[in-house]
Amino acid sequence: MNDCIFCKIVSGDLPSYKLYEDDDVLAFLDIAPVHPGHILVIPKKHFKNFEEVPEDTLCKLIKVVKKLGLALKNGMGYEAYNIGENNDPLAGQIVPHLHFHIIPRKENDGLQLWPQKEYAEGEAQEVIEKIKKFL
Amino acid sequence: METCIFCKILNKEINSYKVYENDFVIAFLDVLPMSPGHTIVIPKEHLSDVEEISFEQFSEMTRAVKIIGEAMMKGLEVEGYSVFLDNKSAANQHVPHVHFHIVPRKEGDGFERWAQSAYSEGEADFVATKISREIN
Repeated sequence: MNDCIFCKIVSGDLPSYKLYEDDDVLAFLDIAPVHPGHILVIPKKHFKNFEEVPEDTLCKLIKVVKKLGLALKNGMGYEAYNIGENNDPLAGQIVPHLHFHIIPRKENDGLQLWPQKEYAEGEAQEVIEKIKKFL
Repeated sequence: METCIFCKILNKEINSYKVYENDFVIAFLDVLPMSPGHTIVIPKEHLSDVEEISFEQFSEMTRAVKIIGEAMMKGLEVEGYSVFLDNKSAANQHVPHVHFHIVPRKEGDGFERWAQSAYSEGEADFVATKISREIN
């Protein structure tokens, strides 16, 4: 897509710190990292989200995520990482070109998960029934 | 694994609200949801993290996320969801059985991204080199 910043990185119109590339997938450094080494993994072809991406492309992406996660730990000496994908703008997806984040982590780095709470009586049952209708 | 809470859910020793199941994975509601419908996707085999899991099993898990995510959007009428996997305890992995979270999202739900910063001069190059040479 012409005005997509990630498509411009794929085409080389915008520079990036490229880490990995094959026929279908590109991985590069997020230039605004949560921690140094924060990686983005994208399909070369422009798909917006999980809804648009075909299964075989998604599987190729996740394989690269696994490969790069290990390289990130080994290369930078991190203990752990988070994999994240914000699917659609309401979920905080800023660039509308599907991407996985790999965020390196260290013990006690202070990054917190989002808060959790309990279901009200009967609410969980209601929720799964709504989801299962579309499976 | 006998002491693993997710294996107990799998073996039905502990009840769960099951969302989806196939030969390789099972998905159920997180009982402490970040938002209603928050779903956990696990492989049926006990594997602790992404390093232990095979490419094929990881692909199966990701395929299930796609299927469930679409059903979640339609069934719960949400316009987006966040997917994450916390790999190892320093990344907030609390149950050592590898799992994806799928969290339905709504406008104004207040879930913030972690703060980001910029690289100093030359730092990104240095970092990219360190990672690149470990890629097999």
